[in-house]
Amino acid sequence: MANMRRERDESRRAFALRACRALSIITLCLAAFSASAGEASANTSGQIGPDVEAVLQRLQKTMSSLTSLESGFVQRKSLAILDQELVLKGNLFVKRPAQLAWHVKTPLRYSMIIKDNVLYQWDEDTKKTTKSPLSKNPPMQKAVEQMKQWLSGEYLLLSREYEVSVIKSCPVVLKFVPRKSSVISKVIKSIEISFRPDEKYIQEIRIQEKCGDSTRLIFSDTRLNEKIDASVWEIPPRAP
Amino acid sequence: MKRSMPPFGKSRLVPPDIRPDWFSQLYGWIGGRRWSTLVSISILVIAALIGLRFVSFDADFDLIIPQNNQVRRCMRFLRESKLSDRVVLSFGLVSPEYTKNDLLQSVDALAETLKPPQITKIIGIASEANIMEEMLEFLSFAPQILDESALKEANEQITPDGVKKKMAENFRQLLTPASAVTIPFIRADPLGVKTGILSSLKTLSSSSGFDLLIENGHLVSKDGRHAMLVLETPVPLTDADGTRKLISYLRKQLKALPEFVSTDIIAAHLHTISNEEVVKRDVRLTIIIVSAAFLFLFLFVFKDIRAITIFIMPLVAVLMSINVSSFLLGSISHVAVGMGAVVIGIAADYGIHTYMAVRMKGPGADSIRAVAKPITIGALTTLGVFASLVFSSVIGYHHLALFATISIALCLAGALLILPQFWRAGDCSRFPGAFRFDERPSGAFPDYLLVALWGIIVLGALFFTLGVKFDSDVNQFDGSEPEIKEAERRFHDVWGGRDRPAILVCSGKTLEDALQLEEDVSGEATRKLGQKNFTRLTSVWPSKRTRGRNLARWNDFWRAGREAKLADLLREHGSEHHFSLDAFAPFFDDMYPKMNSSDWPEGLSFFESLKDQFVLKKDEGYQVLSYFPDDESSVSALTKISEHHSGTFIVSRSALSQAISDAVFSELLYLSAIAAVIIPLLTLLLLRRVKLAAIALVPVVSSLLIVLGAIPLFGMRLNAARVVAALVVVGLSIDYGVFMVYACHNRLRIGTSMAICISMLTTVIGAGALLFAKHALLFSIGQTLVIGVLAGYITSILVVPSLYRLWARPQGSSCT
Repeated sequence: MANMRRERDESRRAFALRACRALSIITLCLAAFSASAGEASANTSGQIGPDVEAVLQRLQKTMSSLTSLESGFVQRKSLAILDQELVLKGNLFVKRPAQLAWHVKTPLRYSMIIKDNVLYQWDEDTKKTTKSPLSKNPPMQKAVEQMKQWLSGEYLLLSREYEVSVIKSCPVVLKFVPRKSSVISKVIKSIEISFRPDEKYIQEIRIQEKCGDSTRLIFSDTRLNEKIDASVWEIPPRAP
Repeated sequence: MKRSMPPFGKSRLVPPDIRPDWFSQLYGWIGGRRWSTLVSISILVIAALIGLRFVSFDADFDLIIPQNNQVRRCMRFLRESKLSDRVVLSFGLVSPEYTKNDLLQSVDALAETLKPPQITKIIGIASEANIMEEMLEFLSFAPQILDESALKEANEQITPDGVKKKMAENFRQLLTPASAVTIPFIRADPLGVKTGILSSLKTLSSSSGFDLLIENGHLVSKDGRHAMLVLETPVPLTDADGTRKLISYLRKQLKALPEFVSTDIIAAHLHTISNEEVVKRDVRLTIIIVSAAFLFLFLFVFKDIRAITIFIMPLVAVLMSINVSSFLLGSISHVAVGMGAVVIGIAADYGIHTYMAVRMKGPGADSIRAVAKPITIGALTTLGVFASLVFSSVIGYHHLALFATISIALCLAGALLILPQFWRAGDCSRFPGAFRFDERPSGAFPDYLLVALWGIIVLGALFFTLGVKFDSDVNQFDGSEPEIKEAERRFHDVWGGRDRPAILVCSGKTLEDALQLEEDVSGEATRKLGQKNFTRLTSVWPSKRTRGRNLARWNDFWRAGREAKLADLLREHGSEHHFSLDAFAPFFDDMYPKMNSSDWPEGLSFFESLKDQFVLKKDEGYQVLSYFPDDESSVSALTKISEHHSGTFIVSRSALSQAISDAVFSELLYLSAIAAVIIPLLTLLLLRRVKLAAIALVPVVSSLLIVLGAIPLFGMRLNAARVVAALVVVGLSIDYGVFMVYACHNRLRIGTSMAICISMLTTVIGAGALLFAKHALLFSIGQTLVIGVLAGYITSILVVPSLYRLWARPQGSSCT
């Protein structure tokens, strides 16, 4: 029995990793030194209008002083794969330059921590912690990189991968449409970011996916540049 | 061999009654036309100098690597595999102020400027944006790819518990920030039956041994501070001129990069031109050193301006030989030309002896005829040694054989027939006094002490020979400049790839044949090495034969009621996590695909990459490559398997090293055969007495043992170049030995002992000049020659006379 349980656990972990690594494998398989066949992509540097650039620069400047972020979140996912809306509640922590923690409290406790370019994952169901270099998991790396750019206000950088427009100026709402050359364009249709009236931070992110799925990420109780408790970076996370 | 024979005097070993009348006639005929001869030679020299511009110097690696079937096959594979004809540009950020995006922008701008004819393609990641779609499409081929064990695994999961567990796992994936990416895969493969294929793809990708990330179509290092471009060029590796134009073009384009970006060019092409340039520089340097040393030596010793011609003659001979050899061979190995200084050093001896003869007796035919025979015999033994190099497995040594043979033959002819016509008799009273080698000079060490001391040294050398190790590293043949090697070191530090895998090559007339052969071999290979250690294309794309079988098995599996059962279980347990009714429709929609009749899945660009890495199209068919760790046990295991499957062979660095070791060992055996059989026989033939022959062989044995003992003593390793140099040492040492025994036995008063010494010095100078060479092969040849020649000469001068006096001197002879 113990053996079977162990096998099951291992199998679970394996699948969790496999599914998450799906894209990483794809990407890595193209990374073979001598195994590539296409022409290099064209210069992807984004062209944005002066008005948009001014807004992005202003927001980026405002958020450039950000050293840490702590916020509660509610993520509402409308997914075709589910017959009802999936609502995640939890906390998000960012510490510059490269630490990120994503703790989901409901419907199931799940934690993801990026520290020193290592990805740690834990979930309440399996109670197992997985650890792997972030670079070995390109989809997660890409997702985390994007998250860090959104949350840190590096919008000029994002304009390389997205066409940016200003939907509303007060409070500011930006719309990002992935450029066709970007891998994100195959998944994401558009992303809208709404800022707080004081423009100090994001209020909400709306993601519209190509397949019709959508996600809203609403921030609450956001605290900027405050000392983050060390326990946040622990995995498995402390009991609530 | 190198002429150390007495330039004059009677000899019982060289019968004086041989009168080459034809020689006197020829000598006289040239003497009557000496100025027209000089003009003719001058014209030939000018022509040879002009001809140098058209000489093709071949720096091809193949020419200097010992060849056997395995080495030849490996080298041919590497040459034809296209892998070596690519150029890699590795870019780095030199300032922390700049970011990865700055770097990638610069790289993109540069990529735009790289155009044909020099660069035909920039190999990159064209379809990164389509990767997800392509991979999902590829999963639709799973029924053709998955084998029986995968279905067995699937069968175990089609249970209430199995599906329940899978649904929970799938739901957890929705909680991660990367869920948008994973959802399509969950829908297409709710049980994860097909994702094993993706794991196999991952294994295939890592078989390259490099650490890369792909970001927006760029190859980026893990630290995000470096980027890479892989370029395809039509310039072949062996085209030195084309390579120069290519590198010059690239360097010109690279100048446009901003200052914060550093670039390393990594290409096998660089080694081609660098080796050629290093050897050319070595040849220039060694010729200058030899020229200066010879001029000083001849002018200082002979105090006669005409003595310069002793040196000019071999120089002219080498010059002409380069032209003739290149004409006959189509090109000439750079290593052969690099030995020019050594050849000059050896060939100068003929001039020294004829010069001494003329100096003492005048330029008449009789003076020259007196030395012609011993000089010719010496030259013939030298030619014999060099000519024997045609039996070497190193093609470059065949070039050396022809080059040295022509040089020595021309030099011999010049020394005997032409140079003496311009020399005059002169004062010889300044030369050191005569002494007899069969008598011990007063005040000298007792003979038994000298012999005992020699015995200790030789035994010591013998002891050290136990530590001789072969240098089987392929890099030993690479004389490229340090900057190139340093750039490669930086490249590997950033990108990894030092431990490249070994390759199992399966050949077939058709792709299907090659794939089937690979499948046949891979069963045994994976049993020996394990699945993880044997990366094969058929794990993700089997042969048509296997794919047909797999598809039939898949269809039977699901049609046996499992499709309906799984649908019911997914409905039941999926609802526990609110999975919608059509959540897994993509899986059922693609359940019964048609057989793919084409060789490859069409429209998937990433498969083009795999083809490039795993399949080679040849004129005679296809080669399918599989990768495994390049360690001794794996290579040994796979070699054994390969031996039982015709059409397969192994390409590995360690196997190549072993093959080179084997080839060097064969060369060593060959050298030993010469030393052990031919040289004693020749010596016996010349000296006609066993005791004398045995003593004459002492310098050969001594020099060989001292060379072999010095190799480990000075931390060196035995390589193919040292073996050939040792062969030359054997030839030189036997000459010294024969001469000394000859001098002792004939009680010669060697008035020209200085000439013998100068002969040795010229050889050491020629070989010693190679110690200034930058090319490792030339340097090791120089080291071996200097050690060997000195050992042979010193043994001849000091030990041979003592041994003769102790052991072989006829009873009643005088003894000092």
